[in-house]
Amino acid sequence: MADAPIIIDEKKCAGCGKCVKGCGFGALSMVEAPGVNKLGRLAQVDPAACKACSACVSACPFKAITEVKREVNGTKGLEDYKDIWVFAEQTGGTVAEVAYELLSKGIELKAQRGEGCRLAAVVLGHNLSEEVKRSLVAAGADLVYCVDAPELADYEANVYVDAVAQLVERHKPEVILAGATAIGRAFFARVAVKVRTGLTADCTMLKVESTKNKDTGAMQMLLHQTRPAFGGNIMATIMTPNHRPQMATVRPKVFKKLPPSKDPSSGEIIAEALKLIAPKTRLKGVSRDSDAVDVSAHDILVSGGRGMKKPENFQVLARLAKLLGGEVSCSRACVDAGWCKADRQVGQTGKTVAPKLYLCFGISGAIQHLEGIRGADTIIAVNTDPNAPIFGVADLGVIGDAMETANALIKALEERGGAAVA
Amino acid sequence: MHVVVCVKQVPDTTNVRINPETNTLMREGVESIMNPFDEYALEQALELKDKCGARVSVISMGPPQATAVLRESLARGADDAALVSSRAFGGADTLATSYTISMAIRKVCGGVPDLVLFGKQAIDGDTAQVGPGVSEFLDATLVTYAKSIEVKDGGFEVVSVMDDGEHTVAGKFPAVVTVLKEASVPRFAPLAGTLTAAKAPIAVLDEKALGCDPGQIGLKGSPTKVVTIFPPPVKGGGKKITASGDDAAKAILEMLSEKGILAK
Amino acid sequence: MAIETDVLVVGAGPAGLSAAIALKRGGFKGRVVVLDKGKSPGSHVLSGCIIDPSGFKGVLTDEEVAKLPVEAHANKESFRAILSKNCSMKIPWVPPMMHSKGYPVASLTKVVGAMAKIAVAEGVELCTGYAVVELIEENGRVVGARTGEKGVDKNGARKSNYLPSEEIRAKHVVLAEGGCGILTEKLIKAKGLQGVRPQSYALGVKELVEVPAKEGSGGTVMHTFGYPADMRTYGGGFVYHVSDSQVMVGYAYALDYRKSEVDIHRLFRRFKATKAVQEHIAGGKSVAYGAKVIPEGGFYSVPKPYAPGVLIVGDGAGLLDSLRIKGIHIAMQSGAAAAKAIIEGGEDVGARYFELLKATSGWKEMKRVRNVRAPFSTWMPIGVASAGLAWVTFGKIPPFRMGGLELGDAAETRPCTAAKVEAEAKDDPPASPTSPDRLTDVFMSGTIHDEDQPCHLKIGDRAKCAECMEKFRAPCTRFCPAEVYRLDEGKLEVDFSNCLHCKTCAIKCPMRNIEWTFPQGGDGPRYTRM
Repeated sequence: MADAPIIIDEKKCAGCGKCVKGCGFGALSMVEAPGVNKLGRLAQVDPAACKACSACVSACPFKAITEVKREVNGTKGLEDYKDIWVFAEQTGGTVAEVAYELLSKGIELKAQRGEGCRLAAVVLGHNLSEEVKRSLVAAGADLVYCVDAPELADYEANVYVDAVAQLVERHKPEVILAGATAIGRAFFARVAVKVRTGLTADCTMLKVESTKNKDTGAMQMLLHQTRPAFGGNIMATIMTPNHRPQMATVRPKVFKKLPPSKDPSSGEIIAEALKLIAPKTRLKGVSRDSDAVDVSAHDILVSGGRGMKKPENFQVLARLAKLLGGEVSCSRACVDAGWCKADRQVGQTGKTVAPKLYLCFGISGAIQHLEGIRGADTIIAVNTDPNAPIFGVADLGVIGDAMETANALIKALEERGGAAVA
Repeated sequence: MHVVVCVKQVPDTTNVRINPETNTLMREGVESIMNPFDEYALEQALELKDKCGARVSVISMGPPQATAVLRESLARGADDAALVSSRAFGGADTLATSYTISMAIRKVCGGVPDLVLFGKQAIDGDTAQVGPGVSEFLDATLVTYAKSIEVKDGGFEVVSVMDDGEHTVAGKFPAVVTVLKEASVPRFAPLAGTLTAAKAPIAVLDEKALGCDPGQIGLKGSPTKVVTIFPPPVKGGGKKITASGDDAAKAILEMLSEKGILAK
Repeated sequence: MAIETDVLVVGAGPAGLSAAIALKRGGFKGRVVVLDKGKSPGSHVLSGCIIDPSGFKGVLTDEEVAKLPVEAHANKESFRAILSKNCSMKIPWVPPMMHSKGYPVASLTKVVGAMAKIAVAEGVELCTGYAVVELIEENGRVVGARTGEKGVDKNGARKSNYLPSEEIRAKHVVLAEGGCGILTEKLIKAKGLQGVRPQSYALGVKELVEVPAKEGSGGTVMHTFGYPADMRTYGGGFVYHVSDSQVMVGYAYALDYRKSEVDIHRLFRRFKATKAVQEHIAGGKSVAYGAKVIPEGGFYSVPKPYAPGVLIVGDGAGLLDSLRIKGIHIAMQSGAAAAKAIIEGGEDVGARYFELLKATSGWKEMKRVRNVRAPFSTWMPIGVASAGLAWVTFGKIPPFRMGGLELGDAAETRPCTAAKVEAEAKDDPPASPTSPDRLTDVFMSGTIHDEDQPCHLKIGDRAKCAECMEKFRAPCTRFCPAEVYRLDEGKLEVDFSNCLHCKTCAIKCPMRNIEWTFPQGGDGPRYTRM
């Protein structure tokens, strides 16, 4: 049996139970202990449930709980790790938007970190244009590590892992961020394991705390990484105190992309020559068309409900979705009525979605539907019924006619020139 | 051919909430289920068994109750199952878990098997990290988000769904592949299979059986530390306006700019 | 190839599990297989929640009973007549038969979950998620059953994961399906097993309400009668504090009610809005919901509970004390009796089972209150008087069988007008945390069905529906506690995914035009705290 990560001093424990309330993991409980203190009970820890978060240590008014100082298998020479890196994902010479968003955030983190910290971008590829590299500088990078090799012409997880891991070992960054895209989520997790550090996926908040290292006295940066868990029902803040680099992925559109702030010619571009492994897989082809729609994979959903009244009206929503760069989804009523296919259904018996924008027309919002959109960042609802439950969760509720509003919105977007999506 | 499927028992997350008074996870009334994404991985493995006679082993890591998901897998047609369980594994994050599971895979297979399958991610943590992590410890080829897996020319051909389309990639075993739900519809366990699986032996492997390095398991082997948990900000009703047509469109566009969805 | 077993128990509720446990503990060496259509043990089980512990005897050990997941025992009891929303009256003297002091107040779902573990430890083979859809009969004897197929799409075509029906042969089949069991009802009909009169049911709906903790409130129980039921319908409510911070609130309404315009979920909400109930739940939040029919016809509605090769136990056989509306203990006793008869293995196991059942304390109770239920359908005070009389005279008065209930519940429904429906729908209590609307309640029941399967609620003749809408104004849209039935521009739509498997529609449709068939095994409610 493993020892508990905390020690409860039975002499100091007054049996008040505050630690039980303070523990987020249900690891503490009170046991009867007649005569030990006035209340006749003691706190007890379940080592299997304890996550060593030390919330109980601060919750205890009697200082009866102490954290066991454990030998940590941490990274050697923590203070050698400096700088904040952003992995700039690119495919076919186009840098993913999320990279610019992360650089924007990186500027803020760098400022929080203070003197001596640099913001760097890492870009992998083959025959990368100067323009691509300079755009990263313009977005805030002080330097750009660039690995240009034929093996990196297309994304290949195993080579990507090798390249980034080598760079980490060579330059020792304190923090690396990547977009939680299909590419970022896949190979980054393996990089973290290869360099034996922690990674927090899908962060929605990042904050830097500068603290003194207890042993060396040197200032170091702790990254507070906040992310949803349990299907978005719970938020957890996670840190990687003793390992470097601190790695995190962030979903696209979580942070705002700021307009380019730097002179593109100011930063330093470093061409890194690495001896890379041979690709483990061979890309045989890429196909883009697919009949089935996965509405849960889209960041923008335009959704229709019973209030759409007839199936033809969904074509209007489809046009609107296209202008916004999203997909059309629907409520169960529309599938029942045969207006839409079941793969577009959102809700308890359909898909659970977590888009950046859920723009819905004529959906009243029964709880079965609301369950499916709980993870949506922004909900805008148009409905004629002022008492529709959807308005209880909408960031913007428009009491009005669905079709009229949808058509007006299409017109307005077309006037702007549809491609103005951020 | 030997295929290992890693399955996880998870709480049905639709019911997990935080008690706002005590800030603790409320698990009462929450059922444990097989991670839905793992069902697709298992189905892929069973289809490989149907097609080319692969041996399918199932591994889970968790408390003793997690044998339920292993029995469910056996009932559907897996050949053997092992549970990785010990209090010493408690508090493991994705790094320590990846290490522990890779050790279990080596133990069960006597080395690195041809193919290890994972679901895309687990619905409780949603990290999608353990599959890639295990591939590193096994030094196996990593392919993520597979929509289909085929055995071809002594290697594999996988259709992997990426942001820019579906990539068809080919490679050699050993490989670790994470599977999407688009891959197939999981089969049901026949009653006869369920009755047999209930009596099947399931090996329980602890850190000693696996020969784990004590520094790499449990809390000690976990670089990340959960500092706090809290309920997500409650989505209250926002602005409400009465409008249709152009006025409504204007208000919506303003909101889209404000939220950064549309360029200003 | 068929699966062979010695005993097949259909249904893993208190009756079925008692039979299985009692078999193993009674030294039965054969194979005992228990199947249940719910996703996990207890997920389709629902009861009021005060358990008469006499049923545990002979099934569980005292130690096991002490370890059941029970947080409170009834300690403070009251009985109230509710006269209106704001006015109620405490009945100063609670008749002794209504006492439940010391009884466990607990979630039956959890108790059944614990019993399932004990059963498995005893060597019972318990499989959930498998619906038994048909009994196999050979030469007049039931010799086994068939499970439902899975993986059929809504048009009836086989999907890629199609799983065929499986056959399971058994020397004895124990039907423990619960109230209005589909196989049980078919068997009763086919074999002419019906009792003196048909079964009459009540629909029970219930919520678990989480309330701010109040030390010492666990164990407080209240029973009510009166408002919002009318004077000729057997209806009543209960409020049970299962712990210091959790309250079970339930309402039962007899399905022989006449007023077609009545909406039972609405009555439940009115009941919860009364001052008498609000005292217990104000400031709380409903977190779980469920509904189920209660076979409350009593003694005269009990069918002959056996046929060659098959024994009927528990609610399926109508084994319920219709005065106290308690059946769990008799269900367990019947299960144990069935086990004993099987172990003895005599010539006629069925007859022996019935004999053993008649010797149980539960059966004697049922006999004593045999004339309680019917008079309540005339006028409530007559019911109360008759119930009291029957009790004090040990059922000797009246010496004859009181009339009533002969027609069955559906036939009692009277025609109604649109105006009446509209009038009844007025003054709904506003939605609140302790008064969620019906769809929110359905959500909290956890019920879910694969929507790509044939609708399991079969509407027979659509013309009859049209007739019903004229005459009765589609009462299914009101009696269904799960909003399965809804009118869309005059057409009846069936949202079977909402179904709670309560069977009310199969019982109360005035045209008898709805057939309840089994959906895919594993579908349906997911009760965890009912």
